[in-house]
Amino acid sequence: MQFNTVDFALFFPIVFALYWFVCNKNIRIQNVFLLVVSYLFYSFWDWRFLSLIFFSSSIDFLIARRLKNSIGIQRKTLFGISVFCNLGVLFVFKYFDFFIETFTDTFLLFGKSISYESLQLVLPVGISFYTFQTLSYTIDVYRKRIDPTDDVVSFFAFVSFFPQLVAGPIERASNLLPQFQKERKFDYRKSVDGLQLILGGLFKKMVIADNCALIVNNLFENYTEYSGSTLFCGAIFFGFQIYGDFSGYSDIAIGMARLLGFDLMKNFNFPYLSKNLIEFWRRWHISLSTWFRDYVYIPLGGNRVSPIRLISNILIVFVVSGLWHGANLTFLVWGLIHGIFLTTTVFLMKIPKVSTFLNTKKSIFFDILGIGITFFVVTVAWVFFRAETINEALKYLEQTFSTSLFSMPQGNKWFLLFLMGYMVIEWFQKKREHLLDIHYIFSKPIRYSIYYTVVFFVLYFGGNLQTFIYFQF
Amino acid sequence: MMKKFLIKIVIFLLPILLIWGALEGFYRTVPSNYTLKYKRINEKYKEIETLILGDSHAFFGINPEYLDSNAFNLAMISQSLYMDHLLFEKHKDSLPNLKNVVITVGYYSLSKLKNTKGEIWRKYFYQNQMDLEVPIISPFDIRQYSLSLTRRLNKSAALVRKYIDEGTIIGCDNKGWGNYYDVTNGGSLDTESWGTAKRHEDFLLDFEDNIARLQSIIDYCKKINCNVYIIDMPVYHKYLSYLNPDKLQKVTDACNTLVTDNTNVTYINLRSDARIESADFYDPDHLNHKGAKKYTQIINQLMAGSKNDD
Repeated sequence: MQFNTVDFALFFPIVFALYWFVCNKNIRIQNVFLLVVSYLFYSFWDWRFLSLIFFSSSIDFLIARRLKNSIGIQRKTLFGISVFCNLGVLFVFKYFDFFIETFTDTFLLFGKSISYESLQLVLPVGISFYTFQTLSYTIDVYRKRIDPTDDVVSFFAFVSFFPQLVAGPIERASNLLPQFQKERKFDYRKSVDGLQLILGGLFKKMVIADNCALIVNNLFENYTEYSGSTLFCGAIFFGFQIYGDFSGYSDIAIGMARLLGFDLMKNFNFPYLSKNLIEFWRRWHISLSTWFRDYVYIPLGGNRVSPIRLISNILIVFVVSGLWHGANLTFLVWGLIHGIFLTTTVFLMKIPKVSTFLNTKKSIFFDILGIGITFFVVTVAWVFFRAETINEALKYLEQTFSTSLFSMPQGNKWFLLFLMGYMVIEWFQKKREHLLDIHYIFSKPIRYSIYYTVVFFVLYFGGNLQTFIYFQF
Repeated sequence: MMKKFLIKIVIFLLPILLIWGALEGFYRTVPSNYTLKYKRINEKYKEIETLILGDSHAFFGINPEYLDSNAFNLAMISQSLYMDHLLFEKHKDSLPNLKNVVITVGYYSLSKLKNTKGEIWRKYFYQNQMDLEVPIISPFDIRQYSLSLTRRLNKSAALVRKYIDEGTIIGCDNKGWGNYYDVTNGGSLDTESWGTAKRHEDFLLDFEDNIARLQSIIDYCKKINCNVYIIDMPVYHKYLSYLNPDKLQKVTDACNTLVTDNTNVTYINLRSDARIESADFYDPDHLNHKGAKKYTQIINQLMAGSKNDD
């Protein structure tokens, strides 16, 4: 059941009504209710994989409690079991076949063929998201940053909370778990904000992402037939597809959580307005970037290390981040490209003249130049993210950066203009919380006209229903 | 606070609910191809000697007017063999004079899945407007209770506009033939061929389910002494050149196997018929009025010929 379907449009109001009017007697009933509907929500995809969520939740709940009073080797062993179980499940379902295939392909390069049996397992929806979420809980307990909870219901509800279960934001226990343990009251302002987020999210998903998907699928499947300029536009369209798709989903998730009285972390903050890659990664998939920062980058030494170590730390984080997205070398290369450009940016920023120049030259020209360069790098990297194989990505780019790059792109010019118009709106909203944060417009008719215009766009110009891209991760 | 919130939501949603209600009324009251076909086949049960099934190639390409026997075209745009089979099962016992069943099989017919994504909305119309039990519709699927929810607003709006402009949204005659592909869609057959062929490529080669459906229809027809004609309709040569030749051969082989295994089956392959002219096509894979007349007459002759052979 996806957020942009009629089924969900019926499901959520029922949940909302039961949550606030029937289960509002006490917090425990509300949590049990959230747990049940979250499992029900997930079972619409595949009820069998509920066992994996249950397994991950049980392991981390039990181990975290034992960690509280354990010391020394016992503490480390318990922590190791949790990491092994969580990453083990993730590895088996997501990476086993990939590593086996890569391993045998490597042997083939040396003329040796070895036979193997792949598992051919179906990837459980959202496994990377809830695994990282529950793992962060154990890590934080192990590091004594939070106390383990004794409330099994709220912990299980925290892991499986349906708005963010299948595609994030990846929440930290320190932020979300306490919200399950304190009384939640209906908040009018917060709920209106939630509705605005949902509407904005639906717009991003259905109008931007789903329409881009139609164009992108055709261009990537038949790239040999198109000019370089058209293919470059195709890469831009994919950039907007994945942005609309993922940030749209996040907005809807955050919006729904607000309607239920929860505050989830912001996951996107107008990333295509970033003036450099460092800024981009502070604005794109924030919950994952900060996860890697806190649980991989900083433990590796962060930026308080030698230049060589700094380079390797950044590259490690981005390669792992690439692989988190999928078991394919294309994701690894995508991560590597970002890692390399980010490292370059970090070192450029360390040059005093460059740093002074960037910090003092505050003009719209340099802002737009920075945004343009960042967008270009991100767009080229997206080609690897979208392509099925590295070879396909390279051929796509070879065709793109040919002499035909300077020809007139074929078709979809109006949609490109529409996207540019959309970016102008983002530019005006960049200091706001989200796309439809228009509380500052005092005129009610104007506010409502904007809402109805967005509703009209969603209903009238929404593309064919496409599965959210990030569900596959 | 909650009360204020709910009241505001209801007020905000009111215009949207009104539009939804109006569209629902439109779909429930305005006759469509589905309602017309259902009505006519019920009226003509006793007269029908030839039943035509298939997708848009049959819907636009076989005009019952030019068949010697009393024929009815039950084909529909994007109608899969899954739906053909369901329709046949529903109506077969009510057709006492049935002598021929004509089914078109094209490049993707045998590999088409029962629940294709693109035309998913049509199944609700079969259920609601043709009284067909469609097992792939889940009992929890709320779209079966509201036809206006099955389609995007722009599609519904286009249909309403058509109704306002033309006074009807029916696109077929009383014998079920799709009669609005009159001359050409205005595009070039050569340039459209590639895109159409790409759109039709599903990369699927598993024919098992659809062959089983065809066999089930054939088995029943055998019992009542009825002939089955599997027809591969004419397509534009350039379109044909973009299709996977291995899959085309597999389609041909599968149809020939049905002929070998069943005495009542004739396979008429007009895919690249020598009499084909560009002027016969509405687009690369659909015949226009002229083409439909020409090829229905050819099919009629071939059907008569195969009977004489018997």
